[in-house]
Amino acid sequence: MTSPEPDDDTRRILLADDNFGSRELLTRLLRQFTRAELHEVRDGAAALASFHLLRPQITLLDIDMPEPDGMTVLEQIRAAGSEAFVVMVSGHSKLDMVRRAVELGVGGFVVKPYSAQRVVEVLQNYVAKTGDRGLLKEVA
Amino acid sequence: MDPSRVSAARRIYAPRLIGLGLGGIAVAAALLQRGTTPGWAWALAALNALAWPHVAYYWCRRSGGSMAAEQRNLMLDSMLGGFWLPAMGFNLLPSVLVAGMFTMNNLAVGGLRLFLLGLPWQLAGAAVGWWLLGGRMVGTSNLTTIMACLPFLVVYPVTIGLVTHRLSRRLAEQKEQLRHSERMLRTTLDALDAGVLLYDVDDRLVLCNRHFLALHSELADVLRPGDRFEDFLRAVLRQGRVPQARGREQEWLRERLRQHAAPQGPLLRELQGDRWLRIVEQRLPDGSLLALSTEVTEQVRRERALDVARIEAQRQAEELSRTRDEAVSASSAKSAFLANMSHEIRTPLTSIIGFGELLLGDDVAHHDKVDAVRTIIRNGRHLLDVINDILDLSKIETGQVQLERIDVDLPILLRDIVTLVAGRAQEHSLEFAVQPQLPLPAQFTTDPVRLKQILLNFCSNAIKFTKRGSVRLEVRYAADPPVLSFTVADTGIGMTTDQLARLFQPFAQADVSTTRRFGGSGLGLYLSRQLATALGGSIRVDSEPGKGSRFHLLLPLEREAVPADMLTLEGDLHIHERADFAVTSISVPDLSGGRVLLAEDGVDNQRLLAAYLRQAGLEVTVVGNGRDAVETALRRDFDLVLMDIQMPVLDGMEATRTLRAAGYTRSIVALTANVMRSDIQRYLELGCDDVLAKPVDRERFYEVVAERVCAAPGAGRAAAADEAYAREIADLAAQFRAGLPSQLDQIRAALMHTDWAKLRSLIHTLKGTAGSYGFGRLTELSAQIEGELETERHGRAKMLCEGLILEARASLLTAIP
Repeated sequence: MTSPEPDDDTRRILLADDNFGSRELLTRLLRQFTRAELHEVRDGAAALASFHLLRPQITLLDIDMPEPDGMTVLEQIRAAGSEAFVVMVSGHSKLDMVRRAVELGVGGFVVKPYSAQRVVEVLQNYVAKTGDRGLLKEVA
Repeated sequence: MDPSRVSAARRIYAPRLIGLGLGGIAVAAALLQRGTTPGWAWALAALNALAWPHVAYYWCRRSGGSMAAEQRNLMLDSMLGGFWLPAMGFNLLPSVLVAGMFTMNNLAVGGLRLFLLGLPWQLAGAAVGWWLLGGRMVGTSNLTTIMACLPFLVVYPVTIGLVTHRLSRRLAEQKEQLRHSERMLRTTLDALDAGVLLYDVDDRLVLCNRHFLALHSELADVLRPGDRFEDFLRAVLRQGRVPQARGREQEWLRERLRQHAAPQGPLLRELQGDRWLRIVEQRLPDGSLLALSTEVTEQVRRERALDVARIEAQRQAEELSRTRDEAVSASSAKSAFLANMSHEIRTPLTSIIGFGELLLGDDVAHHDKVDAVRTIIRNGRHLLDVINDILDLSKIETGQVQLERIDVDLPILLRDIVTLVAGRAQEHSLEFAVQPQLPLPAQFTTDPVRLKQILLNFCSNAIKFTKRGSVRLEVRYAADPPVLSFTVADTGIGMTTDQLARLFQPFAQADVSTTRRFGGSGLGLYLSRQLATALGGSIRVDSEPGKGSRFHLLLPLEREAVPADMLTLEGDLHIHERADFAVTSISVPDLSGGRVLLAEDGVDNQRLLAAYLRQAGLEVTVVGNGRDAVETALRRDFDLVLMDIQMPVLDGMEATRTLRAAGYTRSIVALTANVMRSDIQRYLELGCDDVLAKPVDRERFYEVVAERVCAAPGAGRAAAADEAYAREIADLAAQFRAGLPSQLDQIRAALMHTDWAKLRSLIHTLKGTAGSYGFGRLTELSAQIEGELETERHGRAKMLCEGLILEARASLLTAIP
């Protein structure tokens, strides 16, 4: 359902974060490495709706965003039967949270602040997991 | 007396009375007609009619009412009847009546047999009468005679008919009863849970029951009533159904027939398919033979199993007592070993503690300090040797030692030995040389670690006990059978025969004082021998005091494991390439700028490893448990995580698993004392990049750390990206800085209006952004304020906000524009 159709060439990344600064930074970083469409939302409800609408290859969910929070969004995504590549983003890395995320099969757990290295690692993990290089920017 | 026989006599009494009475009347009528008749004839007629039936009745009763006595009476009846025929002048009507009466009587009582038997008696009676009375025929009967005979004509047949009817009915009843009891007998026999076989006096089969046929289903068509027992046995033998008799059929048959003729106790007979019958034969009083066969397969098997179990139990008991003896002797050997061991451990510990205390003193000269530290290190190493050897030993003894079988390059193996031994030999001013006797196999299969352990032990022994001269390692190969032999020869003090005998005992160096003089755990040779055995090889020593010793390790190779590739030239070996081992000081790599997370719960190890890492210029963060390891690793950027496996809260394995599952891609190196091959394999599978054994070998430690830190993404794409990122962030930071004053104004306004909700949202935004643009302190403060606001401690929040504003101002001033 949520996996991209094979002939659909467009790759999408969904960012869900209530903080403008975080989103801004992440978009700028992502643009350096990926040619995917970037979609931004500010809360959990929008994140869920966009997820089902866009079927993004990568979804970055802020755990601390409002209504509902990122973990709940991930739970609902999994409950809908999707195995999509979802990365949790958080200002902290409490073990309980990490474990919960791991149980829900996250593709990564990124602690803010973002750095280029962390963003690259997320993309590398995605490529390693799916073998899909389509969203990487061609390196000259 | 049998009542049924008495009643038979009584039954015949009535018809006889009536018959003879009427017969007497008929005779009297005939005599009257004749006119002149002698007096005795009248008396006889009266006696016949009135007395004879009573005489016959009592006569019959006295003789027990037997059928034979009654027959005799009947024959006398018939003779008397015959006697009266001539007396009546053979007058037709009475003659017919009299003759008919007796023959009918006989017929009714005894059937055709008595009827026929009675005829000669009747004729005899008639002949006697003819002779006594003189033959005279009387033509016809007059009316009187006819009238006298009439009642007789009616009564007699009716009486006889009734008696005959009753008799035949009784006969039918008896037959039915007989059939019934036979049926009952058969049902009962069939219901029996045993095979029943009945033979009559002539040894012919009378009957067998259903169970018997079930036991011998294939005999159903052989067994026929009337067959002789011997024929039956022969049939069974012909079918080969008596396993016991195989090969000696005739003998078995004779034996069986003898048993059958004079049955004794029960006998066991085997059927095909390991089934067993218990047969009891019994002679019945009438001479017939009853055989009962019961299937006792279960019983026989049980008994057999019981026998087996009994033997097994006996064997086990013997084994147990032997094991116990062994255990007792092993346990006493163990106690001696332990006593010795604690001594071996205590000795170096005493030195370590003693010299440690010495160092604590105030006025210790510098060279004394150095001396003390050296002693402590030497003893510590010795202790480590002892403990390693003990652990190896216990692993071997408990069968835990896991030998690997991998292809080993002989040149590389020899080179490793040279590397390790040559330096030490040089320190003792000894010459060390490898002397290969070519040709040698280039490769062979064994456990290289264990093989090296043995050879190194030989070499270090040789170096220890040699004051001057040389130590040589000779290598030879014999092709058939393929055996590789290593010999370490020294020019040392050698050993006496006595010392040689004690050589392979644990803790039995040739002399107790040698331990002190030469060091060593005293377990080395014992351990070597165990390892050699485990490798399938053996150890031999020859030595002469004062001339030196030769230690041989013979290692048979598996024929198929020997590759055809042989080394034939000295040059192939390249053993002596690295000859400069004398300097063993460790070079510390320069890894400045690298960041390492050390997750380790032991404080001493934390300090030691952190010191090692800092020596290499690395920035070290130390955590004491797995949870902190996970949280810190994710929060900050490290080039390497050193993960102790045994940690509280969350162990290293679980921490590593969690990190990898959360997409953590940086290097993780396990620190562990479990260095069995299977353990290492497990850690690598969990996601560790490498494994470092504890206690940590410093050289290898630096090797692994350097490799990992250099491999970390400091260079390459991410770095280039970080440059671009730095540009971007500078751009964003400028924007942020530009917007910061207005944000601060808004915060101040919210503070003045005590609009906590507004303040909270502002602070939250600031927290999320500030850190990313290099205002880490602002993020920290914002987080604190957010916390205070959450718990509605507005006073504290307000105070912190003031601090935040001051901090922001300060950073705006100091930040590079």
